[in-house]
Amino acid sequence: MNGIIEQDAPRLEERLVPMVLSDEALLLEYRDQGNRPAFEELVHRYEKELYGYLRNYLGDAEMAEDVFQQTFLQIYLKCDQFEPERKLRPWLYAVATNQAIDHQRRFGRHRMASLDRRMGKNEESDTGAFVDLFDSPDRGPVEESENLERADEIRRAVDDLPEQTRQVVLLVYFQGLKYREAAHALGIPVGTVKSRLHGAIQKLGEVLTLAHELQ
Amino acid sequence: MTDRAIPTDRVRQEVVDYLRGALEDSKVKAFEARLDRDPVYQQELQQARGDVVRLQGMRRELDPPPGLAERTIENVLNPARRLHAALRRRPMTPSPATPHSGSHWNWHDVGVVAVIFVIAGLLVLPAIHGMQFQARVAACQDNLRKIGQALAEYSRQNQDLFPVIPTEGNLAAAGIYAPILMQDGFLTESATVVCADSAQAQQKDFRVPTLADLRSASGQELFQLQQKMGGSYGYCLGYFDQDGAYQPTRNLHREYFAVMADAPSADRPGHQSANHGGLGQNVLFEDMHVEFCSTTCPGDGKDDIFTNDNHAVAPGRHVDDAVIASSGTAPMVYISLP
Repeated sequence: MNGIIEQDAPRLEERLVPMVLSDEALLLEYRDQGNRPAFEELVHRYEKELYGYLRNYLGDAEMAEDVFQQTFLQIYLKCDQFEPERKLRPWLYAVATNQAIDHQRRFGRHRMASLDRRMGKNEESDTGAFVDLFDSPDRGPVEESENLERADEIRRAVDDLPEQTRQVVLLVYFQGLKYREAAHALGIPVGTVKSRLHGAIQKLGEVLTLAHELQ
Repeated sequence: MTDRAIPTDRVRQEVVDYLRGALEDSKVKAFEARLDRDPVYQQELQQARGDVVRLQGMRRELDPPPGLAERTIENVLNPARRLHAALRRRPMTPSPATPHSGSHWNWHDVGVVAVIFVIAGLLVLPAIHGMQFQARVAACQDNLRKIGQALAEYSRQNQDLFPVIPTEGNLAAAGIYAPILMQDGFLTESATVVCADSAQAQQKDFRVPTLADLRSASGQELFQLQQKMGGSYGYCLGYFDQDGAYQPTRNLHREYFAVMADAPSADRPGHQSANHGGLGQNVLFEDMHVEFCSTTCPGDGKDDIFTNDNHAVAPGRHVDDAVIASSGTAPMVYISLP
């Protein structure tokens, strides 16, 4: 009796592997095995987080997208330089930060418009958690207005921090990197990360205290 | 502000490190003991905690624009787009020139010029390499267009059928399209079925075997003829209809249906073709347009052109399930069952 068999079916685990691998293993999987889904998974995994960082850093959606793509282009081009014993995340942030700086240098620094103004309801919904700290249904319109002004003050204060200090604030407070990871990403000693953070807290001290009193 | 001025910088630093979980283990207990008894530490901790919460609260969840990851993947992994992106990275404007104080070049100047040349070389060489790559991709597309014209003409003269792959016998392999088109005069040159980027391009004496060659061959010789007769391109295997009967591919002029492509690889992930360095494959669609696709699922991404809907290298599961197979692939394999 004759029958038909199907040949050479791809293994199921080949398709599932990228979802369970660590960031580092994904990059190595792509670099060493040419496994395209591994690279795709990596981009998807960092899409929201890294774009958010660049958007905050650059203050412009178009620039953030451009730098996001350039970052992964660099990761693709330089994946041979990745050391397997290191963590990918700080390296990714290092590349992204360098790309952002390079972008600013070549095209001029974009004003942090997104931090300076409150978006309308119909614009991007990025009024953010910080504003929500001040928003309360129990407050009257006058207090509401004062709170929004205070939020804008803090945003401007962060925006006005020296560039190197702002980088540390964004990486540590916004992106949740550990001191060591932020140090690696910025190519500076851990002690410098700490001192810049403390400097930032001191510089923001007054405006933060006022916010505290308001609450 | 007077309260904030009381603690020293060191205390403030210690408190923030504690909140960030960055205080050394050996210092945590001592810190907590101090915290229990020292109201200044307690006040500072409360203040710092509020500051940290407020700063972290400023982190806004900014959603990326729709399709950012997909665009990035396409731009990074598609060689033609990658070249474009890389070229955009070159400095847009040169640095402003500074007046030169001396009239002669010194070693420093020579060194600078040498570095400039090295950097320029590093920038230009990949671009040249990229242009050569693009030229080979374009030549491959020309081949597929010629084959497409031949297939279209063949189908016009054969009740809309493309060359049929027999299900058994010496001619039962995907590459049979080439000997048929050559035999009937729809193709005239063997080189048309060889992609310039493929390993087969190195075989200068390659020629498509005749149907007579195939019919008279046997054993290892037949196997080798079947492997090479389709050149470096793969051909559509046909499909099973609702009754489970095997059907050859009929020309329905579908813009989404892949008829031929750079041959799939047996050992690359997803059977990605090896012809263009594994970066993608040219695909000839039934409406006779040709595209370079960096994935094996062109168009809407739903149909993998190198496997059927059961993820197998076998005829499609229905009329719209395109499966492109390499030259030596038989549409069916017969086995004896007990």
